[in-house]
Amino acid sequence: MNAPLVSLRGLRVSLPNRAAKPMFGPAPLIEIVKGIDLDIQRGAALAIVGESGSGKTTIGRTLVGLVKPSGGALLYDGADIGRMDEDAFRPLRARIQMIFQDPQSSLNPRLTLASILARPLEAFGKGTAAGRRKRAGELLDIVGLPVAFLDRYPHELSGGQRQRVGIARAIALAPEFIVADEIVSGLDVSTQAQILLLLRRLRADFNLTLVFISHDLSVVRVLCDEVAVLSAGQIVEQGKTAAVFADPQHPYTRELLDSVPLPDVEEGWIMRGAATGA
Amino acid sequence: MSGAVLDIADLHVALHRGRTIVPLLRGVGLAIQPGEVRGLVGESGAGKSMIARAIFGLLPGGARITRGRALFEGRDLAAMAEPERRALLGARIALIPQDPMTSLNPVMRIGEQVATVLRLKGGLDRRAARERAVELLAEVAIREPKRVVQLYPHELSGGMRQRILIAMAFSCAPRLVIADEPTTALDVTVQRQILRLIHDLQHRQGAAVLFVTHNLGLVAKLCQSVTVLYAGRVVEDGAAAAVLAGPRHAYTAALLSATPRLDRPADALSPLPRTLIETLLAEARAYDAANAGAYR
Repeated sequence: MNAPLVSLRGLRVSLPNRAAKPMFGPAPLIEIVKGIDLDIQRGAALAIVGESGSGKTTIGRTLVGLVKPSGGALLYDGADIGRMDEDAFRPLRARIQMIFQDPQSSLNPRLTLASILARPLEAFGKGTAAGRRKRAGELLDIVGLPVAFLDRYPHELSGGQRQRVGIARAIALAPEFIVADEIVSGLDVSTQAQILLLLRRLRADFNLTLVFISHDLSVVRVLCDEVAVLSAGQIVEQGKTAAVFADPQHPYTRELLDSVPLPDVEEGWIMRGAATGA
Repeated sequence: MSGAVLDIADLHVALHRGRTIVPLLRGVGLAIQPGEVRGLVGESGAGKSMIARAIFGLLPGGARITRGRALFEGRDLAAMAEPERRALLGARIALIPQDPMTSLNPVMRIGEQVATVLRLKGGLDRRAARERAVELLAEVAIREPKRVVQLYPHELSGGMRQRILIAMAFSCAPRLVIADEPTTALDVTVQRQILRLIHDLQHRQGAAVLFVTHNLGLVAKLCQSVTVLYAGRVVEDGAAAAVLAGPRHAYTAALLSATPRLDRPADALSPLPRTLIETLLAEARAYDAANAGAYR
């Protein structure tokens, strides 16, 4: 087997615990990701699933260099990007992209789509102004939006259309690795299906390696051939999605799968929820 | 139907802005019998929240009921005087809102918020309301209720906050509870606990529930019956088991095919056909043209 594109070895991440911040001085650190080993092969689509507080978003942000690990190794194409300084990491930024959960807040409301999509190209000194605008139009076309949208602002778009812009921006620099964090969670069923199918097509067309972070296990099944189940900062189970979902080994994975309400009437399902807790 | 807790018929709601009229509900009909749990399903803009808001008299500015009726225990909510309606809300008709964070007062202790409902809607005095608040929290399976009544909303998890709101909704033995997407912000394991809680309380009190959701899975697990909306119209209505196993309307079928399932292979998913959406929108426009008088 070829060397994986991304390799995590005993990865640990600590973040400031704002809830425990004293009135003066820095907030104490709290460990969110507690020693994770994970290999992501080139061209793979891996889902990281877990409930709130499991650390899945922190892993995603660490993978794209937004957060520095506190321990362990984060190898990207053989180089430990967890220990790189900003200058060394900069060339890799074009190859690694992220699609955010909330396109409403991740797209600058004062810029037109043309400017939003030209920004990454500008940052890496690619093309002329006219060339970048042309490329922005192509990107809109790739994600299924009319080129006439170039001069529109984010607030003029629907939620699904904004998420398409978020995807277009992420592929602007033709990256090889994309991390998508809960990108369909706020969308209607029909819009969600369109975005999932779009991402599946782009993955094939551009030979992307994809990490898809989600709390929704049904969505994961559409897009990812592999899954890692996260609980309290540790991976409790990983494997092929079809196999893990059909025959989960860890009790937590079993509970998570059983908690997903499938659209089939089933007497007694509701009673398997604990009466206490929360 | 006679004996229904809620009987909505021919309900038209329109938004009036100057001379433009935007239809929001196009002759909706739905009935809920005592003790029935009915799902109200649709995508954003279908009008499901608009129905809930019409019942509560909380339509957005410029929008009003232009035709039809919404009978609660035989009395028309649309024609009711404001004080009379207000006496029903929170007591006989209760709401479980979508977002537990914004629905609780952030600067008031939990116990006081629950007690306020009991005083204003349940007619208890200050002391009895305080004591009853602790009991209510225990009934929604909150551990250490005596401690929790002293806390502020931000000190609780999302699931705990939703339990508090459910306790408040069921506190005065309502006949009708409207649950507006009450689990959207929750993890799936907590979601099931919240559904169980609504199910248990509804069952114990014999209350009817209108469960507003976009999730057909929640309908399958909680509801006996379902009404499917598109563009302010009811496209399908029936027993939940029958509708989900064999939808009669193409939209319901398409919605099911567009819902990803963890037990089906990836290629089982298909998006809503554009032609279907165009047909439905054309039908809505044709309806508006033929019933222009219903929106004035």
